[in-house]
Amino acid sequence: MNIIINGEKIEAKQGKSILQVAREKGIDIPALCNLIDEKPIGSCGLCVVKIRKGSKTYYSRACTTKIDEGMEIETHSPEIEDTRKTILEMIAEEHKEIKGEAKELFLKYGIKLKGDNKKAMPKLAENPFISFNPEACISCFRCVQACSLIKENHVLVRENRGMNTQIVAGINEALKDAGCAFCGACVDACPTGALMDLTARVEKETKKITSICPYCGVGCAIDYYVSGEEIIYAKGSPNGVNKGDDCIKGRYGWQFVHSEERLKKPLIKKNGKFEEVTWDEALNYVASRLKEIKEKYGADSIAGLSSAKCTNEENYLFQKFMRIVVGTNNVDHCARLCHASTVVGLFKVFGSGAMTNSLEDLDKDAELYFVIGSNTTHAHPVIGTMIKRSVKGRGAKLIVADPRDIELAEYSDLHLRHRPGTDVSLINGMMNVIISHGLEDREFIENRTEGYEKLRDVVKKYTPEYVEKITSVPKEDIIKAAVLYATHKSAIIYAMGITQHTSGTANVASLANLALLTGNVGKRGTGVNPLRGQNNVQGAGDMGALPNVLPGYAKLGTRRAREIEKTWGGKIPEKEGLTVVEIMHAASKGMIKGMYIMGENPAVSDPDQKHVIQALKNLEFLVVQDLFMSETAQLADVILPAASSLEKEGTFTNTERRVQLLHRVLEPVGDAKPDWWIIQEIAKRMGADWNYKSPKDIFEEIRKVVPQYRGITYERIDKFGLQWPCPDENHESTKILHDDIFPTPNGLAKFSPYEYEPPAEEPDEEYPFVLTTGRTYEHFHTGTLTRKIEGFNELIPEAFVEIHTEDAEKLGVKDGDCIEVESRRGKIRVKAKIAGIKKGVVFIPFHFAESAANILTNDALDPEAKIPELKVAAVRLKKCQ
Amino acid sequence: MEDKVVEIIEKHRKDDAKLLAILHDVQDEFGYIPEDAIKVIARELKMKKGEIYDTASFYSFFRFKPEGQHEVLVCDCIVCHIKGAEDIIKRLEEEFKVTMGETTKDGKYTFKMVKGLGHCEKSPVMMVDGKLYGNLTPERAVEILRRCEQ
Repeated sequence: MNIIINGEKIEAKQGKSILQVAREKGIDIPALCNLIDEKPIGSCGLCVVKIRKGSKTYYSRACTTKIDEGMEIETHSPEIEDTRKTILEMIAEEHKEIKGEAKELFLKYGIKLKGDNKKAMPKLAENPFISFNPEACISCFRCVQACSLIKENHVLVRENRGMNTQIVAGINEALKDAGCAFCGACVDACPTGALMDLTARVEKETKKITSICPYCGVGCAIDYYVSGEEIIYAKGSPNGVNKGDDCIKGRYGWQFVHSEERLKKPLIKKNGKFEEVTWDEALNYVASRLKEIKEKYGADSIAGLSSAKCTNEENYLFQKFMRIVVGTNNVDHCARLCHASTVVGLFKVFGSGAMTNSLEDLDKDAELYFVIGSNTTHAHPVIGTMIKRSVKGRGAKLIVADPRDIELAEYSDLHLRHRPGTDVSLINGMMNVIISHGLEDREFIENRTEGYEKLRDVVKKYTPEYVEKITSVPKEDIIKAAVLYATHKSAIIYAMGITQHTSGTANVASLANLALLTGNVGKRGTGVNPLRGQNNVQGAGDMGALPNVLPGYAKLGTRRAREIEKTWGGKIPEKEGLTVVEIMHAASKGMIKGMYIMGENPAVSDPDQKHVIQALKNLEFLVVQDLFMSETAQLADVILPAASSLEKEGTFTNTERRVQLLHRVLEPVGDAKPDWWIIQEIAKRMGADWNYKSPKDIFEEIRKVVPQYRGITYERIDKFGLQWPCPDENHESTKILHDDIFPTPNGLAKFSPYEYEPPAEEPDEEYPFVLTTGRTYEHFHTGTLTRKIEGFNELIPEAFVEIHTEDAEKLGVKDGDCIEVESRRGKIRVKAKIAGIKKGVVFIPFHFAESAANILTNDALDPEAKIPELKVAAVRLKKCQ
Repeated sequence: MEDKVVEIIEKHRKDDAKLLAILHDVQDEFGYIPEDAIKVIARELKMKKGEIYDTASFYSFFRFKPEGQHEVLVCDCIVCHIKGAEDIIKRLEEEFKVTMGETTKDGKYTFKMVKGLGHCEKSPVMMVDGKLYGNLTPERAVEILRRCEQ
C-alpha cells in the first residue's frame, strides 16, 4: 500500500495505523495514551494528523486511523502543532505534578504545568508497593489497558465517564482487595508518573543490570536498577523468556537482599550460643569436624543437601565435593520433594525427564491447555498470565483439574474438581473415553510407541461411571475433557499436585501415556510440561545433586561414571546414596552423624516436621550455609553466610531447560561469600587440589562432563540462554524434545500404564478431612526470603486454612475464626478462610514456620521416586477453644 | 441476597447483552447495586468485579449506595440560585448532617441537587418524593421534611 507522509512516498502494509507507519519511519508523533498499536485507546488526541484522501481533507487521530491507498498525511504542520499545544495546555491546567515521559513532552512544547486543586486519593493507593498520585493522572487509560489486555487481570478500571472519570481498583477498593497481582504492568504503562513503584526514586546515576529472578522455575529475566549498592526498583526484562512480564516476586521480591537480618559473618555455636568468627576459623573447623566424622564412622555417615536455589556451578561442585572429597553418594536436594516423580515417570515413558516443550511454542500454538495439579497463576505467575492471555486473547481452550477453585478455573472451559490423590483414575478414565470413541492417534501409536496393547487393557475398566465413583467428577465432564483434549493440539501443564503423592510416578507416567495416545508429543503447542518450582531445580538435577545419578544423569558404576572419574581425578563410590527423607530417617536413627546443608530449610519444607527436627538435633555435626538464620540454621553447629543469587555469577537452568547466565547486580553483603567459593575452601582444607577461579572455570568443566551442556558457553548465553540438549557450539539448542525420536534404546516411547492406588492416608471417621498443601501467590516456599519483606507480610501476614463454606458451618466456624487442624502426626492452629474448595478438602500453605503445614503432612513415599505425599493427609478440625 | 441475584442472572443467562439487563433488575430489586451483587454477577458470568463496575458506573442511572426512604431534589438552577437556594442547601446540609448527593445516616432522606424542576414561578423549589414545594425559606424546607417523619 502506498501513502505519502510529509511529502515522502512510503510503502507500508495494509492494516497498520498511521501512527505505527510514521513511527517506523522515525517520524516522532507525540502520543500519551498509545500502548498497544493494535488496540489504540485514542483518549489523549495528541497524535492528530491532517489527512488528504481524494477530494477530502480532514483531521484524525493517527493511532486509530488505519492507512489507506493514496492517503497524503501531514504530521507536523503549524495548525496541527497548535492543536497539540492547546491539548497540552488544557492538561497542564490541572496536573502540576506530571512526571516521566509526559513531562518531557511539556518541556518540548514549552508548556508550564499549573494547577493546585487537590484531588481526592482513590482507595487503590492503600497498598505496600505501588504509589498513586491523582495530581499526575491524566486518565489516558494506559494502565487500564495494561491490566486488562496485557495481563488479563481487569483490576484497574474506569469509574464514571466524561469529566468525572477516574482510575479505580475493582469496585473502588484498595488494590489488594481488588485482586491486584502487583505485577507492575500499570506502572510500566503510565506515561505521567501517576503510578510508580514505592521504592523508586530519582538518582543521579542508576545502572541497569539484567539478571535472573531468584524465585520460581520460569526463570524470568529482570532488569534491576541500582544506585550505589542498592536496588531501587526492578522490572521484567523484555529480553528474557518473560518478554517483559513479571509478577509480585520478580518485581518486588528482591527486597530481601537488603534485609537487616542477612547473615554477614560466619558463626560457630560455642556453649549453645552462636559467636562470630573469621572465615578461616569457620572453614578449618568445618573441614576438621567432617574429617573426624569420616574417619570415625565412615564416609556414608555424612550427608549433604544441595540446593535448587544455588547455581549449576555450585550444585556441580557440591555433589563433586560429597562424592570424591567426602566419599559418599548421600547427596540430594529439594527436587526430591517436588519433581523426583517427574524425572522417574517421564524417563520411563519418554526416556528423558524434562519439560518437553518451550514457553514460546506453548504461548503461540497450544490450542488447549490441560492444567492439572498446578496453581499456575500463583506458583508460576508469568506462565499463568500466558495461559490467561491465550484463552482470552486467541481463544485457546482450558481444562483445569484441581480440587480448589484456583484462579485459572475462572478462565476455564471445564473445571474438574477431583478428590486429591485420584489423578491416575481420572487420567485413565480420559484414556478409556478416547479409545472407546476412536480418538486415539493410530499413526503416532504405530510409528513412535510401544506397549499400546498393555495400556488399552489396563484402562479398559476405567469407564466414566467407574471413574466418577473414585474421583467424584461427573462422568459427563470426564467424557467432555477427554474429547476436548484428544481433538485439539493440547499441552499438559502440571506441578506439585501431580508429583507429591505416593502415586507421583504413576500420575506423571499416566499423563505421558495420555499425550502419547493422542500424538500430543514432539510438536509445537503440545507435550507434557512439568513446571519446576525453584529457579534451578532443573539445573540441580542436571548437575547430579542426586544420590543415584551423576552429572548429566550418568548412572553410578557405568562407563560414563568412569569417564567422569578421569576428569575429576578421584574415585566415585558405586553404592547409591540416600534420598532427602531417607537421610532424615537415618539421622534420627543415628546412622547419619554429620550433615552439610546448603541453601535449604528442611526444618520447614520437609514432611512430618517434628521428626525432621528431632533428626537434625540428633546429629553430631551440622553445618548450614544460608542467607538468613533459617529454622534449620538455628539447629546448626556452624553457619556460613552465603551470597544471594543477585550477588554472584553463575548459571540457572529454567523449567524449559534453558541455561541462563546471572550477572552480578550487587556485591555480597558483609563477609558473605558465594557458595562455590565456600565449597572449594572446605574441599581444599580436606585435601582436594581444586583451583577454580570463577564460576566460568567450573562451567567449562561441566561442559566436559555433562553432554547436554557441551555446546553452551558463557559467551553464547550472555544475552539470552540456550535450551539443552545442546551438543556442540554450533547447535542452536533444543526447543522441543522428541520431535523425531525418543531418547530410548529403540527410539520409541513406551506406554507405562498404572492402576489407581489410593493415597497412603485416606480420610476416615477419626480424621474425616483431606489436607492438601501448597503455595500462595505472595510467599515462596518456607518464606526464608519473602517473609523478610514487609510488603509481602502486609498482604499475607499469617497462615490460613481454606475450607468449604458448608464444612465451616458444620464446625460452627466463621471466616477468620481460629481452627485447630490435627493429623496423626501433630496439630496446628490457623485462621479459617472460607473459600472455593471441594467439600471435605482443606488447604494450608506451607510458608509459615509458626503454624507449619508440615507438622501435619505424611512422609509416606512414592515407591519409585521416593517423593513424600505432601498433597494428601487425613486431618480433623475443630474450632479453637 | 445471593440467591436472588443468581435468580436474576438465570433469567437473562441466554440473552446476548445480559449484563445491563441483569444490572437493571438488580437495582429494581434492591434499590441500588450492592457490592456483593457485583461479586456474584462476576462469579456467575466469569468476569472480574472491576469489569462490571467499569461498565455499570458508565451509566448515571445506576446507583451503588442504598437510597433513603424519601428522595429530596433541591433545585439550584439560576433562578432558584438568585432567590436563595444556596441558603436552603446550606441549612439542609447542616440540619441533616449530609452533603448533597448523600443519604442521611438513618436512611430516611437522600438529597440530590438538580438544575431546574420547571417551576421557576415558585422558586426557590424542592421536590420530595415527586411532590413540589415552592417559595421556600430555609426554615420552611426543614419544617416540610420534618413533617415527613411523622
